[in-house]
Amino acid sequence: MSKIEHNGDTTAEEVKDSPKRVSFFSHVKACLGIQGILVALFFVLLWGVLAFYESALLRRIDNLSLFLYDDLYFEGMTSVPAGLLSYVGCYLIQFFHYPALGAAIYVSMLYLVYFLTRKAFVIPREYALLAMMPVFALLASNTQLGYWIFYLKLPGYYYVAVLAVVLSLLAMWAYRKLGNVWRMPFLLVWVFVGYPVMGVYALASALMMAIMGLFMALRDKNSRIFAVATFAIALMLVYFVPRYFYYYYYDTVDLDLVYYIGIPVQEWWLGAVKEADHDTESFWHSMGVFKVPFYVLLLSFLLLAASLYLRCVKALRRKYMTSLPYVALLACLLFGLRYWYNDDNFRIENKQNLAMWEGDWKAVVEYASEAERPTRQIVLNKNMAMLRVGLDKKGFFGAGDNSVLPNSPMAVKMQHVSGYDTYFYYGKMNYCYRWCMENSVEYGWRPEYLKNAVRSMIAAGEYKLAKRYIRILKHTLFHDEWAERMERLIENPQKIAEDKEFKLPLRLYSFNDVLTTDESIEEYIMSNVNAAARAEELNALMFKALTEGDAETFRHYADEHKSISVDYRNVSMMMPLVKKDKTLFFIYLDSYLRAFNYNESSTNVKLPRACREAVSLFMALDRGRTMQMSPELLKGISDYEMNFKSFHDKVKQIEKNLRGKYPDIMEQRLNAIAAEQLKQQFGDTYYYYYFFVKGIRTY
Amino acid sequence: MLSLFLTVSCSVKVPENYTDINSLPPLFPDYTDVTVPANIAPLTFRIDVEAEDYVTRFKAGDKEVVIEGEEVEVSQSDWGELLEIAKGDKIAVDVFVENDGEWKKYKTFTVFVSPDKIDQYISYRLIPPSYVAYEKLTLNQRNLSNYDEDVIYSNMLAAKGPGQCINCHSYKNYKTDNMQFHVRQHKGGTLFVHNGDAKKIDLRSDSTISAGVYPSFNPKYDVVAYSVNTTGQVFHTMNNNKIEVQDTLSDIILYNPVKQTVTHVANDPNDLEVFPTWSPDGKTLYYCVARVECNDATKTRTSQLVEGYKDIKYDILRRSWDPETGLFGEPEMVFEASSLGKSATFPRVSPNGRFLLFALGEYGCFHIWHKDADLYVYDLSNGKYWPLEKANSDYAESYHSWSSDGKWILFASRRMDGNYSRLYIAKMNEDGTSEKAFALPQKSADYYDFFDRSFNVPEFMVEPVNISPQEFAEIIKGDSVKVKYDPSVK
Repeated sequence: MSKIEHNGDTTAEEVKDSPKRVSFFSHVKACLGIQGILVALFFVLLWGVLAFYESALLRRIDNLSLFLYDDLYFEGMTSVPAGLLSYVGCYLIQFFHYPALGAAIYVSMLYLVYFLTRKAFVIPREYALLAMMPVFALLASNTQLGYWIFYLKLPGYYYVAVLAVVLSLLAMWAYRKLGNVWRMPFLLVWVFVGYPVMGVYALASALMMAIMGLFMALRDKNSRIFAVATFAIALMLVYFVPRYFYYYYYDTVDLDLVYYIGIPVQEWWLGAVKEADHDTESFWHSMGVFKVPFYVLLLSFLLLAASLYLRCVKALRRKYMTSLPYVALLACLLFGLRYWYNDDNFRIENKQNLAMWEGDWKAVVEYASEAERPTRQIVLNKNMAMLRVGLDKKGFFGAGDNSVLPNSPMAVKMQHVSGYDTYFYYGKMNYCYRWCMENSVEYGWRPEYLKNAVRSMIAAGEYKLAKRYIRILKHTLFHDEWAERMERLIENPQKIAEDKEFKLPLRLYSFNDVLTTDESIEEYIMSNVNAAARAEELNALMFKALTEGDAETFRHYADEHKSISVDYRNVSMMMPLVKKDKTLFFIYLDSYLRAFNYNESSTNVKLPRACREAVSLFMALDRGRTMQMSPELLKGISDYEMNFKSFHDKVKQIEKNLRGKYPDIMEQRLNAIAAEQLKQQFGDTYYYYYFFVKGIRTY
Repeated sequence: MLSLFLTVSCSVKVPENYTDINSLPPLFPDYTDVTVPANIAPLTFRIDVEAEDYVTRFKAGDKEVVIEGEEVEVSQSDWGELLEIAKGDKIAVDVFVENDGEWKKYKTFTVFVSPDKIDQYISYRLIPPSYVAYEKLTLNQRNLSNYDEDVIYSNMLAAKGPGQCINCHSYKNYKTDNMQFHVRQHKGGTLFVHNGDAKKIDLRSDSTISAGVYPSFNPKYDVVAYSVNTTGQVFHTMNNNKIEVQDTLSDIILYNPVKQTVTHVANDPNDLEVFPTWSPDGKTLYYCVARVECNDATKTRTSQLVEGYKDIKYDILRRSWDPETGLFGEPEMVFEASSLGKSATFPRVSPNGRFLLFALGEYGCFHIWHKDADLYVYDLSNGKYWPLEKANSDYAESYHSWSSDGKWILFASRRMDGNYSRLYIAKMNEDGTSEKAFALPQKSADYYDFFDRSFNVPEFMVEPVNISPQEFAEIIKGDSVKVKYDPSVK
């Protein structure tokens, strides 16, 4: 026993003994050893990757985790086992708001795991890399997440396991140092105190300590009885203590789950399987894969516990054993890379989200162009941005609009990811608020939900409700400034309509209430559902008033017509184009053109580029159609007619060439080839979208 | 530490030089000029105005309690003394605020202390004010004399599964040896305690459209009336009511816990019958009815009801019941809200049998989502009705109940922020009017700012539920007793 402890403490002694006049690198090498240098390099590199490459992800994680400086919040969090871990976890997560700082804290915690692992299991310097096994397992449990970040139900997830392992390692270290007699009472106290604090981690660490005791006892005959007895007691404690707390302390914990509290895997089960969409074979398979980091964590500790005995076995003291740490490091690196979720669309969505909060709409469009095959969320974000940077620019419709589903084994839904933002930006305040509320019920309030609840209710004029959420946000460390800005707006409501965050959403927040429903983000709701019916109704009423010579009634309805903003009309027209709904498009266009005539302030408004392309397309397809338009508008459209003719001619030419070469070519194949050949020149036009972009995937 | 605290606490001095502000202090929650029972927990509140310092003085007889700070939390012992001294009289409260070294004093407000005590316990469901999602639901009971709160049952006790909703807790005669609540979806059924014996009952039958929903224990006889409902919800894009919860079908049934039978009371296909409630003598059943006609064969019943949601108006009817034969009399109109263009829901008869308390709104049955919904009283002795003006607000008031002596009412209101329903208590006068309602006191002044769940279905109780949540969980996880449909009763 004492010999092993001596081995474990050699690092410090050797540092003292290192030569005085050496080069810097020699000095570092002497201090840390090669393995120590590798470890240091790894942690520095990890910090860099997290702080810079994954900075948007860290910011998003901060936006999805709430920590409040409030007693009620503390009481709520600690009302379940492992709640204190969640509380501390949420506290630490908030520093991801500044990715460099947050990453530094996170990496420091992982280093602490490495350090304590060496201490708890007496790992000598020449085997130091073995202590990286739990570090990689913990890291992988976080880096594998991807879209899971939206679905986690365990508050403070990113730190819960890390903190639990740190506490467990401290306990293991202490346990190893204790004499046989004290180990049993130590376990008893540990499980009773630890279960409310750490949940199942207290049970697992208790068992691990008992197993350590068994391995150590293999070398010490005198302590075998103690070790076996302690192990038996540990088993009993693990079985009875959670049940004790179930019957006498906690009123909101399922007996069937008392042995899982604190393990996120179980939480995922609960959250995910509820929705039938997730109940697929691939989902269950991925769930199995998902748990692997936690199994690896357990396995690494079992191996390290076994090493307490194995290192004393002479047969294993071979020279080739010195390469074992390097093999372990290589395996860890491969494992770490396998479990690092790396998806361009996911990263772009997070960058777009951040840019939208910062009001950088140009960046939102630019990020979208980085996506080879974007998700629908990326396309919607881009389209929202184009409403701001200008619909006369190219890019509202694109060759990549037949978007892919998020790269995730589960059925990711837009309303869980960013749909509430989308609804807000499209002026659908009640629906924005609804999904903030629904999501908060499933996943707890998060800054992202709170902020959307605030701004949607400010836009809806429900200041009392907005203030409630502002008050909560003011108890956060990094979202309070935003909350105070919103509070100032409420105090000066005349400024709301001109505020950069509200300007466009408010112009889209009109003009009639509709009773409908959505199961996810519905683009028909964003397209101002029923606005067409009301527009038609208004047109008819105005026409009737005109023919009856009732000027007052005419003005009344004309005023309502005028109150509909140009942006609202633009969105109303663009959405049928997305759905390729020609009839609805012309209804909106008709209303738009009438407003154009009635509303003098709109005379400078240009029909969006995609609409002009659509008009030229539809009028070519539907030759009998005529439209009353101002000469300026007609001129604008005639340019596109030329362009469409060019597109049309090229399609015909490609078709002719292909049919000439391959008379039996199938229509689908022909279309695919034509789409590819025309993509460069026409990929950003509505004609291209209309003919070649199929199978838009909303979710 | 304690002595230090006392020293600090005693050192707070009431400002001697100040200027008067000719208005009541802005408090959150608003406890100005309310009437409270003699056994209520301390009223904690926040002075909702920016200032550098705050002093609040409570005074009753010779007793003075002075508290410094924005958040005013009187200790249980001081409050108890104040109540005792002021019983049948009032506690005077002065609020002083200081800015730039200058003190100002708001108009003194009073807290009237009624000599009438209130039932010691209430129970309610805590639920997020969401629409589709629910995650953690609890039925809680609260001691009104202090802040003690216990869980009666939590759906997290059966969290391993596809989700569980719990609702509609109800008691017979304010006692807990006969009570019930429903569990939906996972391990669903009605947890029914009959003379102290708890069982899970499956109230569904082939002849009824659903399991039991809104319950009413007959106070004298061993039967329970339920509505059975098919309910849906749709969402407004702009209206700040945000949601419409509608019944597309609903009937009334009667459950006999001795025979384990259910039978129809009212099931006209053109009527939506709901919210049954018994008179105190157990011989009259009140309920609400809306007549709906869905004649457009090209549309579903649901879509027609959604389109015409504003036209669905509920009236209050009653039917006599003969406990000997078990037969009901003919329906009799009590309050024809539809003739006023309104919709009346949740009738509750006062313990003395004289007043009917109900919620009145413009349309529909789910008034807790209707901003215009207010509480009204109908005098059964003369047919007059009136709003409870001092208890109502500009926001939704709905689910309400009478205390066992009929001197207090408890109801849910969204007035604090427009979205979260909170519980309010109001003193009822003998003439059927009320005093100003006050929010259920909580131990912390900012409790209502941070507590993110609504209080739902508040009920008075004279004793706490003594079956533990874990015992309920075990019963719920077990098998249920299935009822039979009995067609003989009409």
